[in-house]
Amino acid sequence: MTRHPLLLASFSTLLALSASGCGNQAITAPTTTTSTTSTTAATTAATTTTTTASSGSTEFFVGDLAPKGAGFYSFTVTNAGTVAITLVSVNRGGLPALAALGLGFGVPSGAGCATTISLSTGAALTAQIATSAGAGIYCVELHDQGTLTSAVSFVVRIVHT
Amino acid sequence: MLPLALFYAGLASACGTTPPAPAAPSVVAPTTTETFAGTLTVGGTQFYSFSVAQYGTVNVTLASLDGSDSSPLQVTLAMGRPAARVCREGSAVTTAPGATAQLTGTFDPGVYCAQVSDIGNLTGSTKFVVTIAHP
Repeated sequence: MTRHPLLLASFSTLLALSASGCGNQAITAPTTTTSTTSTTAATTAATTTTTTASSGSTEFFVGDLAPKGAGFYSFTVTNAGTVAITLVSVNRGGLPALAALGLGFGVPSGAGCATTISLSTGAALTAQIATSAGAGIYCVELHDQGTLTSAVSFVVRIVHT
Repeated sequence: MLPLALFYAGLASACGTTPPAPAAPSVVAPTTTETFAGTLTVGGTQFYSFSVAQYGTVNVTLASLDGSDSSPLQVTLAMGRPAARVCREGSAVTTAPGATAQLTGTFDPGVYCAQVSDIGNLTGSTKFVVTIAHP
């Protein structure tokens, strides 16, 4: 019998929603102690990421990066293990571009991705970032470091447990 | 005889009593408030990620929406989990701004997101403020 990935995804979602619903209880009034303000200006020079593909524990963050642009992609690690992130390709006009981009790994925070690992890299066949991570939600962030003169398309592969 | 007595005692204990239910974790009240402020475009959506450190109550409040002073505008306010390029909604409500939380619940530690979306009521870019109170 073949298991349909969408069916599995839907089942996982139902489980997650069910677990979330079970936890709901009475509320308590908030006690405000600290405040953080954020706007969403980070996407001004926007990344127009258009495609998301998922297959098991490999996900692809695909899109276009404009000069001075940035974008991020969130994913869920279900079991502690290694996360391998590879900037697989950077193209301009359908041809490989030699541009080095900022690639980072972290946790979604505010309007972006709070990176704990960040480096400058071009496209490569092997992972530029490989790190261990516990179960939870993480993100990959990609940004122009000020070197782009026109938009590039990119593919980032994320392999996780 | 003693081992047999212990066996029967154990059997009686196992069959005659119900094991105590595990204690429910205590619900922690919000200790931190984050402000998610921005400008919502016509038909647009924006989200903001935050981390819940302890099992406890999360309150999400659409505090203000420009242009709502005279005739209240409504937008969709949602809470969920960041996934790929979006905030995958777990719960949502269509609401005008107010002083009390429109979305509230008790959540495990982890990363969550609050999202605000135009549902067709905006006629131009509109500033908003959402507050998120959480442990």
